[in-house]
Amino acid sequence: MSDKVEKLLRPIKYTSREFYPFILFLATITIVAVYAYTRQLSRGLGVTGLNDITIWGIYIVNFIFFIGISHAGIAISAAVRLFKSDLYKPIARIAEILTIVSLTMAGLSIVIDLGRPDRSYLLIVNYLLRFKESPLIWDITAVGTYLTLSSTYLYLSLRRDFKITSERVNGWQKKFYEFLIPSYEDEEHSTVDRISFWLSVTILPVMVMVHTTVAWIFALLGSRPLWFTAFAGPYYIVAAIASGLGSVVVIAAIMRKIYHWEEVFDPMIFKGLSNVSMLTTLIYIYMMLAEQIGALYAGPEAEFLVSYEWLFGSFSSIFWAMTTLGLIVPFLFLLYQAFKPGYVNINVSAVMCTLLVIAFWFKRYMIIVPTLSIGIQEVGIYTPTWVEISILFGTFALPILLYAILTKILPLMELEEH
Amino acid sequence: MSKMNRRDFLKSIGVAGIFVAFNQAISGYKKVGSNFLKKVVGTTYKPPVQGASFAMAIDVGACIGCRRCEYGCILENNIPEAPSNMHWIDLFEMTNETPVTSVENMPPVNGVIDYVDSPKEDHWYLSFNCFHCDNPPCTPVCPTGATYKDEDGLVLINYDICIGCRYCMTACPYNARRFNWWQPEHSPSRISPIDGSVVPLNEEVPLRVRGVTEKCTFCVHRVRDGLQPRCVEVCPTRARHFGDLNDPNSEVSLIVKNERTIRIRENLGTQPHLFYFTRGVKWNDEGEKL
Repeated sequence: MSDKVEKLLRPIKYTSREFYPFILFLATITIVAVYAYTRQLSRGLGVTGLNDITIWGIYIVNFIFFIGISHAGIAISAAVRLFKSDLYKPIARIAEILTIVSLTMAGLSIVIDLGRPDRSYLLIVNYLLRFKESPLIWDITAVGTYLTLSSTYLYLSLRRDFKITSERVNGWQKKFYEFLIPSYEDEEHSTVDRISFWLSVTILPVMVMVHTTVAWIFALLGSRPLWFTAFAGPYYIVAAIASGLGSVVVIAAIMRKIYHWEEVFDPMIFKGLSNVSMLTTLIYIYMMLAEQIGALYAGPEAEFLVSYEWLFGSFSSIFWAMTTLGLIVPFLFLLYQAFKPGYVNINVSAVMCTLLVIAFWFKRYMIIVPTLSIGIQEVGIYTPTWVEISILFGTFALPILLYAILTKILPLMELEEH
Repeated sequence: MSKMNRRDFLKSIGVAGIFVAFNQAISGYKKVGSNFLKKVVGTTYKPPVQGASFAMAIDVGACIGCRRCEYGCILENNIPEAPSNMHWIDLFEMTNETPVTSVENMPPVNGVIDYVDSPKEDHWYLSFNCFHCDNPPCTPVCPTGATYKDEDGLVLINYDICIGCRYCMTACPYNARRFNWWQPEHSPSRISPIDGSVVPLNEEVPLRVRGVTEKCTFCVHRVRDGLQPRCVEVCPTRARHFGDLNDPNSEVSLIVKNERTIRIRENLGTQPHLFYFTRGVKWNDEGEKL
């Protein structure tokens, strides 16, 4: 037992030599992005490739992408708690941290996209006046609730592990962990468990609403082809589950490798997560087909033009690369893995899930950009500038950086069985 | 339900009290919020004309594509010409084969915005500015209430509380809205491309800052004083007509009543206040009035 706890605390107690250059590398990318953003702040959004026709670009793509990634975390851990599936317990916290980090990034992406970030306090000042009408306010509400609930949930489950950790470390670390658990009592577990149970009951519907309201930001605009669909909510949720679980597979596989947690993570965890990801990818491909057939066969002019641009026009290379390499190939491998009894290849699964996650980023790009650049001549062609590209890399380096730092602070698994 | 002890009773009183207090707090907050805004806001418009519903009607047959309206608008409304080439009025050169009803995309697929000579044979000219819809899709989506529909039918923007999320721009089916991608630059005296005169900055129109949305206001500072919008005034062929739809004797009311008018993308239910009609072509190929 005690050996196991030691093993689980290894990331906190020891840091390998490779960790620092890795952090430095990520920090450099982030600093470049911060520089790019200061440039955007001082000169205006004109430094991006956006214009009066293609109004939204990479920042909004990032926003939808990170909201999607955030779905896996609490979903897994709430499911673990509600359905008492002990198999997935070891990855629950890894997934929860992913949720918090990616929700933060989603919020950041929206702020980066604002023309006047200095006035964003008006979102709070005018909140009650605008709540009944603006889908953006609905989304802020949903995301805010989700972030509050999930961080509370994470903190409550962490308290006990902070206590155990504080008993096993010395010096400033001990003080730090004791500082994190004010008024800790040994008898609080049963209360905390009860609170966590009801929190997970609450979080699951909130989670569904979060991505539905993200979809409604777009799906309630009657004039925008391929955004204005009734099934936007389910469509986005399916993508969120596929990409979210995919990223959990990737992160868990990396953790397993670098911290030598081969016996902690049952390979069946990877198989189970990949199976759900595979199934949702299949549903997603089906939904995409349904959407495109509708737009191509009977579509009004605008729908037809966007769909044509997707499949045969200027976005076709992205679309087909994304669909074949990013969706169909991973799907086929994961299908093969699902139906071969006892077969799990964690490394290949991780690679395939990486492809899947990247594909879903490009899918979000396909949602935003073609719809906003139809039927126009030179004026609306959108090419991201170096500012946007550096901020894009930065918004991927920063969450990895945050995650890497958090693995050095938070115990990544429940240290003791109840 | 045998008995309710004192503690439960106090609890329920407490819950009810919190509920009432919360509601009170919210209503108080609402008042404080709007007062606070009034103080912060510097963009002020003249009070709306009671009972009016302003609208515009454009005779596409009379329009010769000279774009005087576009330049007149730029000068009147302090639209920065640098660093971005912004204009509130878009004028599209369409081929004769394109019916108005096929304009399903904004800007129109078959329209050309950068043309030199006009009028051209077998072409007609389609002018867009903000449609000031009765049921505007752009105002409800605004997260701060910066854009709103006023009582006299004008859709306006409060430049001081716009946060630049550009949600209204994606919601607008007519691409009527413009964004200040850069810091707008104004020279104090501008030379009019219409008659070469020097035009100072208009003091009645607030200047915009970087990162906010703007669009046609139907020249709110003029029409609320009973004047015509600048684009209507400068049109050499009288293709543009402006008036109050609620006044049965106004020019626009008479046109809507007597002519066959259409509105763009009516299927969206926006009920735009920009009517298109034609009384036939009014110029020859040399651009001379018939």
